[in-house]
Amino acid sequence: MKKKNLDAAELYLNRELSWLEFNDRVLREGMAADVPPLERAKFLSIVSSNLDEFFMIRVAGLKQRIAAKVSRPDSSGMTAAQQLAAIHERVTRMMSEQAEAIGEVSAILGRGGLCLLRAEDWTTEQRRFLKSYFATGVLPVLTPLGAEDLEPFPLLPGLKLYLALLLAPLEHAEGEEPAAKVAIVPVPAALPRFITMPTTKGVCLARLEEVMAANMEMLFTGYRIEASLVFRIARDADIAVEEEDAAELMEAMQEAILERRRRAVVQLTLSAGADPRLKKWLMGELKVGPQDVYEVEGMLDPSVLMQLAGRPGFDELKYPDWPPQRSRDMIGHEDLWSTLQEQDLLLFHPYESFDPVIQLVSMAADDPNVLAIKQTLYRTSGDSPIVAALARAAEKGKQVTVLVELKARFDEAKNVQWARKLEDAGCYVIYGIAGYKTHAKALLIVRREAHRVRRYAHLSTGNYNDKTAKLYSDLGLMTSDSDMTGDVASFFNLLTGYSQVVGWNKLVIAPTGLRQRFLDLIDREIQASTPDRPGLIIAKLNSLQDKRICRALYEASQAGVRVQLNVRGICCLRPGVPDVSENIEVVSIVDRYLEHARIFYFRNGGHEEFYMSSADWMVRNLDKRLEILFPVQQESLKKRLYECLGTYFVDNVKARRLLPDGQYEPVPRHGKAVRAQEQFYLDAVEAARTDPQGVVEFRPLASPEA
Amino acid sequence: MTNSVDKGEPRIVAVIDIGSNSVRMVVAQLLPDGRIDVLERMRRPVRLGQDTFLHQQLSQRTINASTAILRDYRRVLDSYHVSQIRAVATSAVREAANADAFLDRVLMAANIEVEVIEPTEEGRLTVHALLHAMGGAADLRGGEALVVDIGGGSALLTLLRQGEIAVSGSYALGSIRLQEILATDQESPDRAADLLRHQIAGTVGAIRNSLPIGEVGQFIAVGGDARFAAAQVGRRLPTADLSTIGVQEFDKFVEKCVSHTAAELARIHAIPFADAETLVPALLGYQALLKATKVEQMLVSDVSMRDGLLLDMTQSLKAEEAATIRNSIIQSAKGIGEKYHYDARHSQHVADLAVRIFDVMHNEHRLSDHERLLLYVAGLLHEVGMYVASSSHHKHSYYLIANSEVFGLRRADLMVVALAARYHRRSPPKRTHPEYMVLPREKRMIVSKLSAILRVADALDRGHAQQIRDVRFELLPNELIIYVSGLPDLMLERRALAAKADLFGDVYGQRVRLEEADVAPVDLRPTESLQ
Repeated sequence: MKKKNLDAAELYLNRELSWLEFNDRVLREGMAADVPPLERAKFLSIVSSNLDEFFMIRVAGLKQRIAAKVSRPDSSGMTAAQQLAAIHERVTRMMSEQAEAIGEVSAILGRGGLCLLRAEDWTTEQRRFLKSYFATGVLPVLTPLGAEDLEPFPLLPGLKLYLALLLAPLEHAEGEEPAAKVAIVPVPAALPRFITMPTTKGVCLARLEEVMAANMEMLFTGYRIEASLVFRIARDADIAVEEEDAAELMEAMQEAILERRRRAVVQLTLSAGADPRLKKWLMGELKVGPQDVYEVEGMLDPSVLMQLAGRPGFDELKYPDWPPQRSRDMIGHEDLWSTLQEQDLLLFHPYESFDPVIQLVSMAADDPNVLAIKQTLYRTSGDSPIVAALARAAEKGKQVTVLVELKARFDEAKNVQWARKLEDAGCYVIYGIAGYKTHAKALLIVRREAHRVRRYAHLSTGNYNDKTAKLYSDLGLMTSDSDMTGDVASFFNLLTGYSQVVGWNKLVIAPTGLRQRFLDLIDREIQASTPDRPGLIIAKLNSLQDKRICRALYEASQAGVRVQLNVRGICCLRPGVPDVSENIEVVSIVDRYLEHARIFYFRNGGHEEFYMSSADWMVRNLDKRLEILFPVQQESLKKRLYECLGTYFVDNVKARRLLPDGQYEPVPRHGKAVRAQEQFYLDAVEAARTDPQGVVEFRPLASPEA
Repeated sequence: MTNSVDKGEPRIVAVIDIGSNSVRMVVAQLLPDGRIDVLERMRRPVRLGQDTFLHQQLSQRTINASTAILRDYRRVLDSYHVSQIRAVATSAVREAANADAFLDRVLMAANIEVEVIEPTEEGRLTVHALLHAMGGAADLRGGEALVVDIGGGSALLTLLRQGEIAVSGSYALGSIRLQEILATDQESPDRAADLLRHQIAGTVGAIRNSLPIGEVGQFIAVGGDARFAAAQVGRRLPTADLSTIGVQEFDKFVEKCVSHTAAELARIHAIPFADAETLVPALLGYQALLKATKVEQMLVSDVSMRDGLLLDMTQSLKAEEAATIRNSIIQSAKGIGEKYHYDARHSQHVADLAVRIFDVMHNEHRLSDHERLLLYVAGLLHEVGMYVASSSHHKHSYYLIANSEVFGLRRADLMVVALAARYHRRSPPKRTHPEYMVLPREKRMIVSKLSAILRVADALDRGHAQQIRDVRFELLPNELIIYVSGLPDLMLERRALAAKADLFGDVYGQRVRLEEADVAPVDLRPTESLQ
């Protein structure tokens, strides 16, 4: 048999198109009849916010490649121009399906008492109400940009809605052709996007931009409105700051936030049936080509549907409540310190509560025997109890070291704020590492105990964010294993610049050794694989894009190693290609919670090894970020992880499998329906039931985002 | 003396090593079970060696960089509430003309007092750590072993004979110094290697003339460059933090490194440039020395001088702790003596004499400090039975002690003390004594050995007047001679001895003779009292 060339372009899927397939799976949830309508609205909203980021980062990047005349194709053999063309085609189709789904969901919501009305469906009475609403509540805050304001064309901020109008003066000199004028009216971001209208029952909403469009003659008295459209733009947000040193990094980042507004327009979205004159004019002024333009039926920014989903009430239109349970490893253990002296704890969020993590930091802050706390903060929620605890610890005189990663995309403004707050409290704050994004999630506590100091660590696949911990599915490990905690201490020494790498006991760190370790682990599996006892690799991650890892997995498949991959998002590997990847199976789960955990299993000839990580198999994780891969060593936890991994591969409700052509299809259902996330939740409830305290938490939600 | 043992405070120590290429720190704690648990290993590059070896003094820039590092380290030290710090500097500071200014700056900036140590001390520390780590793992007792540590400034060579340091010396094979002879960076890697080899060959020739390295059976490399080679091509041994590299593999690896420039090595192996620069000179040094020994494989140990420093510190901590416990045992025993109105001065005197004899007899009984302490306590308490009645007071002593609590002594130890006191007079241990026979054999041996000594010591203060103070001992093959000076008449003591030294004769096979001190020879054995 002729050896296949494993670098051949046809063996790799394009990263951008694979990502779009992921977004399509999110869309499928928005279209799914078995998902409650407000949750569908949420998924439809996420499709849009995802696309915004995609255009601002990825499409912008491709455009920059073209501008820089980089013509080298990617590993799937596509040039940047070919990718842009394919993206336009795919996104157009996606947005049209999304618009259709929004219509369908609106209808269902209407039947449920939450009416989202289009302008043409307003009653006369509602029309009258909206007119007066516009006159009193909207008109006074509008800042229309007339012809003179549009020369030169102003820098319109991205991701906002605008009305563009073509105006003809009602009075003009006799015999003279009236000169049509253009105007742009920004939709005020400060006003509610949904306006509650009078109705006989339920809630009835109108969209602000439609209310504005219907009443524009009040703004432009003396003109006839020849044509109008709603538009929205996305700009290149790629941040490339010089990172000479940390002090400047923060300033650079604040500038970057400003800079973003000035960047090139990478997408123009218009309401369908736009007047060709307005469209042409906008395209010219915004310097976009036909491939950047998307015409949409209905809402231009479905991301605001998130506001609907967040409204209080309408519980019957949402998922049933799944309150996070008390962690099974915590059951019967009151004191975290003494528990961790004896065993490791595995926390599976959000099925299990994130509270123990907050509790650990909080306890550390208040424990007089705790000497030092070190933590990475990547994306942290605003009123985070963790930030509060760290500040409190510093105020109590403990040594608190915090790495606040400023480069967390789109969160810079928020992060600068927390960094300052911590610094004021006396924490030693590091603003990231020049050239690398610190993506690892690590917490270290140094505690003085009888005759010794002991260190406690928490390592996780998810951020220290109590809000997202309720929405993202992540795993965390708490341990006092001295090899592990020693490594975490070294990791912080590396971050703080106190020390170079002196060697690791059990952790593996990117960018220095992580890819190589993965390649070694895959290779070891190949070596250990025999026809009688084939090797087995199971990995669960968000994205698989690193070509060398893909290649190694192909080699593993060729050597008879069975490879089971649960990849939520991008997957550049093609499974099921004869003689290349026949032994590789790829499934993806998009469900209620965002799958975010990274788990790696290697059979290793029976000496099974389990790892968890903050890193995906992507070039950026392995080369450009500080990431941690850590082993799970305790037998009981290994067993639990194995079962957990297994559940992902028997899901036949939300799982979709990747086909050799890059398309995904639902996993065929044989027998009983299994939905992994539901299974995990039921397991957590079952485990918590045995809790002697009998605690199933019912906590009132203090805020709509909670 | 600190009282940390009682309060359960962690015992955390740190060692700082200011070397020629980097400043390193190890923070460790001494666990209650005696293990050393390393908490932090830190290292930051700073090229002190370049300055000193090239310009004979440390530049301001280097001094600033070093103090900045040490200030950061100070933050770590504070976060662990480190109780003891030992900071040392080696050749790069030792040989710098402005070493004092440097040490002052460090003290001011980081509040760290740095001690400059000599090559012999460096060698001792490293070998100390090496022997400790190797334990019984690799047999060093069989013959001679050469320990080679190539640093930036010099190479430290130590010859071990039967596991003990025989000779050590420092030689001009320091990797940074060798690097100097490559006058410019323009040399091709091959040409540079030739120059280095030539230089090294000369020095190794000189070493051969002063050290019999041709005969050694083992070659043990320590030092960062050797560890790097071991990590690349070595085979890890299951124990003792050792790797092994065969000569041929090593040669191949050296050849590979030699063909690259330092910049290339730094990139290929992802190591700091400063490390890459010294790699080839150091590896060539190891290679030349290895060739000179004719050993087939090189052992590479993970230990460093820092481990030796750590051992030193923790051993002194352990000694301190032992002293604390010993002290509390003695105080507790004296409390019991007072409770039973013992003759404090006589008891103390007997106890002191007993441990002196114990020390003299060390090669005969081979007992440890722990038994020495038990003997001392038995000396203190041997006559508490007088409180009950004078007749058979040794038996009363036995049960009073056996039913007491001496803080810090376990039950089994207390029985040894009680029995040693019981046998300080009258009958020696017999098989008909049930309290004696319930002890395991080795404990019975200890009781016999201790009570034999106690009887002699007690005889020497027969008059309870503590007149025999100035004593010297001479141990002959069949006889222990006790020379006493300043006493008119030894009648009483001689008679007491005649009655009580029987057991001593039985246990040690030696007669005890009391002599006037006029002709006493100098006692060569240092003795040490507990008090």
